[in-house]
Amino acid sequence: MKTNDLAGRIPWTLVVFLAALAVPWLGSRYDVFLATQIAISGLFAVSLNLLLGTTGLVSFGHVAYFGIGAYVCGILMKTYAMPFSIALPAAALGAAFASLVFGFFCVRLTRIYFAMLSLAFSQIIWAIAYKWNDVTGGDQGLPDVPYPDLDWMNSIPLLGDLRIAGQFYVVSLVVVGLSLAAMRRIINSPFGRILTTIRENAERASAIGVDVRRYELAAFVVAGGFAGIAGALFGIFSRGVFSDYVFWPKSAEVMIMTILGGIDHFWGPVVGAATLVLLNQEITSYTEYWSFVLGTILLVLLFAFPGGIVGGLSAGFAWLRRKRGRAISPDARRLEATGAETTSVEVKRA
Amino acid sequence: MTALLELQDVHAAYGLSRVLFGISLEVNQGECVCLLGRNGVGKTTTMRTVMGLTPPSAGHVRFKTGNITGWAPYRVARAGIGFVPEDRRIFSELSVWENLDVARRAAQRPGHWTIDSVIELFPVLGGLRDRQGGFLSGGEQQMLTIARTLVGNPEVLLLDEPSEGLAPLVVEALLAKVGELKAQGLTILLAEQGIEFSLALADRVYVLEKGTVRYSGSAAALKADRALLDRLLAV
Repeated sequence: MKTNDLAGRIPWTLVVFLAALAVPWLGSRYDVFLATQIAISGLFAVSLNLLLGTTGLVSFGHVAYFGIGAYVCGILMKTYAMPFSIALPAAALGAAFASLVFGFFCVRLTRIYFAMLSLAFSQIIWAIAYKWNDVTGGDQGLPDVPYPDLDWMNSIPLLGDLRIAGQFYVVSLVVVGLSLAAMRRIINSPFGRILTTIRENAERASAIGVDVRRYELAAFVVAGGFAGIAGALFGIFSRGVFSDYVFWPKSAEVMIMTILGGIDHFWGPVVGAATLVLLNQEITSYTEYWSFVLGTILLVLLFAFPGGIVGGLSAGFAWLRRKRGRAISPDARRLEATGAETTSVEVKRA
Repeated sequence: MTALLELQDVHAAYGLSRVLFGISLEVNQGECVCLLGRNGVGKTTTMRTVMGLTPPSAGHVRFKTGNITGWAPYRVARAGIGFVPEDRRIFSELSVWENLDVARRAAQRPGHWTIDSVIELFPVLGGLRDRQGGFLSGGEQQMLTIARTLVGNPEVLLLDEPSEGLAPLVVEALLAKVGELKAQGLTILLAEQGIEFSLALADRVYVLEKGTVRYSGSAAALKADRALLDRLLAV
């Protein structure tokens, strides 16, 4: 029990954040590249999970808002030479506004129709990005989106030693960290609890007075806004914004990340994002049949952990604890068993 | 005196299968009215048409002086009609307190009933404040569902099969609680198969059969006439 208390008292979120922050100093350029990709994808996946895991809305078009964020930020920074401090909030607002307009129609439909309409809207965004040459660069995209002006970092010890990619990683990590903290707060707020009631049973929620559509729309807008932030960071990270970013397979990819990590846990999508990014990189370097290998691995993981990786792990820990409790005493066993049950549910909601 | 809640010739259907064929009934202020009848006669559907969960295909639902036919369920709830559904599922991932808090916020009707006062009515919930809804017993869940509806300060309470699936002792405790609510002046529309439960509470009774009202009258009259009761309910 003592070790458990100790483990519970460590602020794991902070530990992980600090460890991630150390990557540019301890790791290679390649590590920084991977870590940036994981952080941004993680944010994107968590924003999708606000719909999928919290509200129970399946959106196949979440990439639209990621793409709008990327384009808004990219166009403002490249074409209009705006600073990052303006372009990033503008990307979030632009994506949120688009979610409000599209979401208004989507939440009027249920389940599969909601999913199809969200996909249709994302394809509209893709078509605009692909065809509107003057603004988006069409199929050529928007190459050479500049890095934000990070010269101020050079005067700061440690940060000044980093390359621009490392410095941008630090900025991204802070933005992602703040966004995740905000989303976590939202999920644990009364607003988030009302979203949970909608996922559990929308009809029952409406019967106690919840205006289901309005709350669904609000969730859609918040998720879209955070997806926009992820997109803005991604455009800068990959040094350009291209119409591929809004094409539907990207929506499928982020959904795989989210489900792979586990939709019942706040950190599930982040773990899923990290897993998919790393698997992708590892396998492509070994074989040209990487998509076959990746598909097989995903299949096995999804079958082995129906609740996602995080869901599987927390169930595993609960089982281990029960097992250990049995070895101690009947009394402790009973306590442990109930404790384990509640923690598994608490974990689910955290 | 106009009725607090009134159904006029309400028809309803689930897709092609028609369930209600012209139900008319009224519930007056402070009354406890019971819908009796066997499984599948339309008791639940009648309540669902009031809530807007199954909008009537014809007919009207009036509440206080307004026509609420076709209103979205959340508007009906906020207007002051509280619904305790038959499956009595609480939100299983939320704690007892969170279930009550969500309902209080959703209904947007502050009043006599607060989280503290419903816990006073159902003291057992006080000890379970932080317990996950999914880990409650059937009786505790039923009390939580009623408490959850009460924190919305409804003017009329629709109780759908509250005693279903509960142990006799629990039913008795529940009966006492609902009786307490009635004594406080709360208007109640109750749907029940259990005659003992309903006749103990009800002022008036509607017996439904195949989606129509077969009999209406005072509960006392029905209680006194055992032969009529047997004929109506074929028990």
